[in-house]
Amino acid sequence: MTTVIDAVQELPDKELLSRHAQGDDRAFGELVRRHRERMWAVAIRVLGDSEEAADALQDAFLSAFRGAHRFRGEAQVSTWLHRIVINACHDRMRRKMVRPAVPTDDATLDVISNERTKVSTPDPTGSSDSAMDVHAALGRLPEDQRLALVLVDMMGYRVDEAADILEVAPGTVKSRCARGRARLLPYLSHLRNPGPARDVTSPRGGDRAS
Amino acid sequence: MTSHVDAETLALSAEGLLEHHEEDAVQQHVADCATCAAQRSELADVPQVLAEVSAPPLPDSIAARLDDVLRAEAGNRSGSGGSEDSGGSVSAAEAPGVAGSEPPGDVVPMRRRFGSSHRWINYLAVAAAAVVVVGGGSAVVRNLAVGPTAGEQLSGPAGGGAAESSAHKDSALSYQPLVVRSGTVYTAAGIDEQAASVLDGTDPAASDGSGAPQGDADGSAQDGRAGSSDIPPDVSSCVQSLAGDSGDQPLLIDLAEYSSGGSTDTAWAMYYGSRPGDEAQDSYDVVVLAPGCGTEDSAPEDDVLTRTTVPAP
Repeated sequence: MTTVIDAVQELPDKELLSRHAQGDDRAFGELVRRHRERMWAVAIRVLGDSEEAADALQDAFLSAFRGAHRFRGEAQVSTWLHRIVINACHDRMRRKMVRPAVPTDDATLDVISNERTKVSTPDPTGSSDSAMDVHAALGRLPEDQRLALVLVDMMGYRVDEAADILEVAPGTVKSRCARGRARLLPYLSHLRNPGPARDVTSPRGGDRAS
Repeated sequence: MTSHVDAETLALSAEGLLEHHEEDAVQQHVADCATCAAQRSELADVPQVLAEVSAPPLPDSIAARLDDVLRAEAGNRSGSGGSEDSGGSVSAAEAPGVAGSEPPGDVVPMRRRFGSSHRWINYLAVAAAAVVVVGGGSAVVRNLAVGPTAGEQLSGPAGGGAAESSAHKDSALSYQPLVVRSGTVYTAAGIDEQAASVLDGTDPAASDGSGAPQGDADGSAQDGRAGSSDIPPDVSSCVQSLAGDSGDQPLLIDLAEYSSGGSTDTAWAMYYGSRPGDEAQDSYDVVVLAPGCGTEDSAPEDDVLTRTTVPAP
């Protein structure tokens, strides 16, 4: 028994996916365990809301579960999963626009407040608010630009990896990133550079030693 | 070019996307214009600002809900037509887009084939449980603080180092374990040596941050940047459950493997300082754990694969 499970854990993603398509029920669980953290990281950054991200993740893995036979071997499984998650996020965003004024639920607030407190104690840059500020700012971007920035700037993927996931040319990813950054600039400028701390009175006076 | 260069043009220029003549004009203007030069440097910082935004790790409650939903789906699939090959029957149930353009996960899994009503009820039960779990998620999330903190330290571009040694002394709030993937395969017989060698390369008490991840053994290499998302949330809950009432937290967590009886599995090595909170350590208590420690139905001690105490390097 255990040896069988061990074997599943050693299999490459592609093999797991094809075993799943052949009816092996453990294979997909292993795939989920391998990729869920990263997929969550994408979804939460794209959607900026843990409840939405959770739903998107669930939609995505269900889609992948059912659509495994549609996976074409030339892509990485992880690339394919990214696409599915991003599509699921896209659907979520679209639905949200149809149904505006989603009340902020407690779960979200808790995540946000956790976000605020965990940035350890005194933070002179005030960056504890930055996660919220950035999410709000990202929310103002066209979706294409937001996705490119999430993958490249936030997740640190290479441009060609992001291009693969988004199924566009690398140059397109670059220009989406560039335009997105330019748009974000006004909202983020207060987050960079703790800035001249002398805005607040410096304890050390000028040269007017008396 | 007399007027200022707009932010978008500057950003495109930074990506090398402008035509030659346009690029030349931008360069010339920026060379003489402090305003545009400043804006260009602000733009250059945007990726950094974005990279530093942390996101909460996947809450256990959501991971569990995912498992439940997929288990229900699997049960559904095997129950729906034993003889039928899964591929065909499943595909029929789906819209062209890969990602379901169907309503929220709620009813989807069963919709196409809830011919048998008991399965339907089953699924509702799962869904109801999932809702409850999500509601209770906040408590879990709060307990995960260890994960993201570690992630920041891991990925933290520059900085951090200097402030760190003093941070160790402070309260639990500033507690930051180093998280590494040393690539070590721990064994019961070799753990002393293995732990010593990991410590050699990564002294968690050292304040210079040199303990950053050694070699990207494998996985995380995909993006070359270890983010908070790379630290399994189960690790955090494991730490929490081990800490129990004592509140002891490891200084170093090695996401590694453990080999025993011919099989090698993922394992987490937690390095506890002998003098909690103190920078100078005489020795480290090392505990190697099987993933799954920290789940509610297993006592943490049951998941200890091996343990030892090694002198500090």
